Amino acid sequence: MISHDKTGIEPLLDPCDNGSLFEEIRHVLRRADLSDDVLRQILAEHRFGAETELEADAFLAGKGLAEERAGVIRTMIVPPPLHRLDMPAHELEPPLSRRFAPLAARWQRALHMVRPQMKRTPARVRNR
Amino acid sequence: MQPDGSKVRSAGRRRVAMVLAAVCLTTAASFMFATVVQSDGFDRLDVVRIALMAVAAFWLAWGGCIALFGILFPPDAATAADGRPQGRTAILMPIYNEATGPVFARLAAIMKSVGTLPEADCFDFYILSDTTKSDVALKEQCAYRQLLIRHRAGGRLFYRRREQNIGRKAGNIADFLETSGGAYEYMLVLDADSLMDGETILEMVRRMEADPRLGLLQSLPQIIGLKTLYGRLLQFATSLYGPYFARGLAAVQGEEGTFWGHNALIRTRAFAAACGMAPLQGKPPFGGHILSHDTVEAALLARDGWKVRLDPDLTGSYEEAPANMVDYAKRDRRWCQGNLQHSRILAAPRLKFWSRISILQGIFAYLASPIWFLFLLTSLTAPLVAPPPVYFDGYSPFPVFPHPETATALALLFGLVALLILPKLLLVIRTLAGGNAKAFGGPARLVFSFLIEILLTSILAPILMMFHCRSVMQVFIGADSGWPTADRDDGSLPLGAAISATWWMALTGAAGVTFSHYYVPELFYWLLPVALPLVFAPLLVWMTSSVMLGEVSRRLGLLAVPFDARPVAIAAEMHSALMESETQQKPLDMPGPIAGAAA
Repeated sequence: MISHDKTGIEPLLDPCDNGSLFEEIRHVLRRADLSDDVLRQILAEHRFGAETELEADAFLAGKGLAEERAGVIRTMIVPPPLHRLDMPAHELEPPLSRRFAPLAARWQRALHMVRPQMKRTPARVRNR
Repeated sequence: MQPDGSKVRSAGRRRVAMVLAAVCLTTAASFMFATVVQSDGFDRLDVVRIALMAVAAFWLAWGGCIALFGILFPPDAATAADGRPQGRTAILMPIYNEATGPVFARLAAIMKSVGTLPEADCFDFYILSDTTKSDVALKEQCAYRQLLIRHRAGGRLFYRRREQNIGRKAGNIADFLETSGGAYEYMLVLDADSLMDGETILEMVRRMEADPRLGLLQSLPQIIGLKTLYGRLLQFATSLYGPYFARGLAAVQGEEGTFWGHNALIRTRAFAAACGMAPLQGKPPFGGHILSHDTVEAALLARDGWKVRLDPDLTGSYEEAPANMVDYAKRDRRWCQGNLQHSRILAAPRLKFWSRISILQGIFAYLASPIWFLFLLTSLTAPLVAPPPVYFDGYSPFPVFPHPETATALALLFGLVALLILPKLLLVIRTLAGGNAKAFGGPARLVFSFLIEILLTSILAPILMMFHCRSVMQVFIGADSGWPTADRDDGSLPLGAAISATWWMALTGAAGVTFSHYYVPELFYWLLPVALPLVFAPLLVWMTSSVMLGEVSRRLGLLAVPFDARPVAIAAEMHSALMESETQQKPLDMPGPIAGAAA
């Protein structure tokens, strides 16, 4: 792992090893979620322009100061973190049957409590 | 610091006081008007006129009370957490076919301002593009690459484009939440014309961290960057009166505050759980996706027990506004449709009572104009259908003459004018007494600017009323007659565009004057303050869109605002970023689409 707090040349453990380059990119961008495949694609699409001080070959070979390398990495376009949130769609104008459902349920409950008593009450037999 | 329960109670007391004050003023105005109209007999049309007057007067009284409460009740000191924010914040800039240069210059200025903070790494930036024009989208992707390289912002600056803008801005934000929202505790929602200082953004995050029940924190954006006479008028009014109106709103809204759709910090998880909105049944304008989503989102957050707060003391928040009346009316047309659509969700389940009042308030902001217009029409018609005076009523051998009510009519007129002017006058007096007049060009210039503002807004009010009436009518019949295209960078309008947008007003005004002259001459002079501005509407709209007149007012120190003398640092930064991007612009070697950009 390369420390980006220090100055001076700090060669990668194995400059030709993509794994350590990927680790470096993850470390600089603080994006542990970036997979090797994604990073490989990012590197393939990245244009090493005149804006950065390191040439592509030098960068890929692990050369350059830590700041220079971090500068190159920070010009790479990486996808945003994927961490979805569920966003349920609330009904703002529900039909009356649904709007009054709690009221209907309460009524049903009240009726349920009263019904057994009603059954226990003997029916008046007039003709007896 | 007041405890929550005490705050809720005091907000409740203020609400009751405000409703009582507005009802008392309305009752007095209605009673006086009823006294005036029954002097020549009483018929059904008078009942309609009194009802219309009562509704319109209530709306005026409500506005006056908000300003008064802003003077009476200073905001409570907000608490903010210390140290480094615990959660990460996504700064979102949703865009839709906007001019690419200024949008990215604004974002560059915000990024630079945030970049100066020690806590800069707690913030990521998202450009959420809903742009449908492919050439604009291409420019956006170029500008994005340039911005990313210039700021070395890889991993902190993201660009995403939706090919179809389903659900408009609300759908755009929802798409972000359903993709990356979980990676952030908070999101700062901006508009394409928003600017915010890094310090302000950090302070908002700290305030939100200090209150775990706070779901949304709205700042008070100040209008900047306008050069036309109308623009300077808007800037002056919002700078001088805006903070007090916002304080008044905050005082009565309490925890069921307002959301203006931008320059606000939102707790992402609360928003995602509470603010998803199913489209309304039926077709637009009243069905389909909810257009003015912000008010509804504030209501839904409050419904789920989250606090929604407007903190008027949060400075460093800016926006631009339409620079002329036609652009203003175009924006109002959209907002009008959105607010009238809210009539269908006024009775949505479980909304807090004050959230319903806020929604109703939004609806009335647009219905008030047709109500005034109907009132004018009925008032013009009433003398024609009034019964002839009865001098001999059968009870007295002597003739009984109608009782003159001139004094009552004048008292009512002055009362209504006072409702409009008095709150503003009080705010000017307060500014003068508080020693803040220097920021507005000094005491004499402040008083002159106040008089000009009152005069101009009174002259322009009938024109805005007619624009609103047309918007409401178009929404009800589902039509849009279109607008003249005159997009000049400085906001000025050619005379042809002003005529094209307002010729029908001039005809309406001329018809009103003629009708009144021939059929109701007794109302002729009463009608002139409304009819004359309509007759000259094309000229007025054109003149107020003039950059030259705006510049003259600036040189004379009139309609001055604090940032005339002390330019806003972030706005200056935005302008230099814009200049830099324009000088650096070259035919960019655009490669293929940005990875992950298209959603």
